Amino acid sequence: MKAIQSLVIASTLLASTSVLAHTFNEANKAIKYRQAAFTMIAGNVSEMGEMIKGKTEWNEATFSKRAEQLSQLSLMPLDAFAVEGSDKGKTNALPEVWKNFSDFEANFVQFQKDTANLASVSETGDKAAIRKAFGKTVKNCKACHTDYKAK
Amino acid sequence: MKIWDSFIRVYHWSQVILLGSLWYTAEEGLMEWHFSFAYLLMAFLITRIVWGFIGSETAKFSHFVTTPKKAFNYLIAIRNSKVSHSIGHNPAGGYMVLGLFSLLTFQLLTGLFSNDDILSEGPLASLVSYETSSLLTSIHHQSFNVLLAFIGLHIAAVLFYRFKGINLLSPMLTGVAKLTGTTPIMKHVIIAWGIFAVMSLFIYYLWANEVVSYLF
Repeated sequence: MKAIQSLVIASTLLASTSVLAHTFNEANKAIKYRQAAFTMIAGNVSEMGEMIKGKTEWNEATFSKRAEQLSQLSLMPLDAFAVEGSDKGKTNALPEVWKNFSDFEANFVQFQKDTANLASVSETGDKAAIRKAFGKTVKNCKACHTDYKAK
Repeated sequence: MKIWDSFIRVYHWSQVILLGSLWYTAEEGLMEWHFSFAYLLMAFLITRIVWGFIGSETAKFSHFVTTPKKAFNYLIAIRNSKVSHSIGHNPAGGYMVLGLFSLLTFQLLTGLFSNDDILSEGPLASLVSYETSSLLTSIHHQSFNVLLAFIGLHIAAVLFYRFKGINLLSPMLTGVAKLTGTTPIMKHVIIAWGIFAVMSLFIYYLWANEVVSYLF
């Protein structure tokens, strides 16, 4: 009985002192999380881009699904940029991200707004408006890549 | 006398306009336009190089490519204030032409394998790995600066001649310069435009139709 009691106490102590390393407290995990989010963003943008360019057939349902997912995904990366030490390590993010964090953040918030707009516009089926909203969204990619992403 | 045929002149100024447009569209991320202008420049450059073998006398490589020694001596002569107006490219200028053609070829080739990391990639980018494509993209960006330096040197040289009383700009616009000596043989530019038309069509069917049909 005593042995079990001490085992329980010991394990409780161990558990309480160790904090699980996760995205928002560990730099390498934060970097991986960001990259995963950007991979998913790229995946959704690419399929929409192919439809916009006419490389694949236009499918309104698929397009608005991608737009909706993009809008959700655009909310993901920013928090992971705030994790301490995540400017070092295997990242393509330039030091400028942290030097001009408020500008970077403002750009990102604009991206989130534009993707939200794209998601709602894509519900209307107005192709000209969708095209325009898509173009506006993609412009954000270029703007940030130029200043904040290693070539 | 006539020293530049109309194809050479149109080629020269199209190159200026196209390079400006290529720079602008790249900066703005207007990739479909960037591709279209690049394909057009490609058709022009290929025609110009062919014209360098079969074209008017002043267009020919055999006319303006001299030994490095001759080019060097020419520069020494300039240093001793003996500036003259050559019929066609001068010996040093011939090397500038070769340099510019090489750089343009290099830009066009690396561009075919580049990607913009968003939605566009050159028509040959899928033949290489993403890493290779990204490396070639970064080379494509950096070698443009080398091209700019060459263009800067070219303009500086033209200004230098102007300062020495020789107007090189007006012959490149009108084709005519007041010079003494044997008048260079001019070929019918219709041949050059024929080659240009064939090259444009070929590139259009090979690559350009996709971006053009998106734009229009």
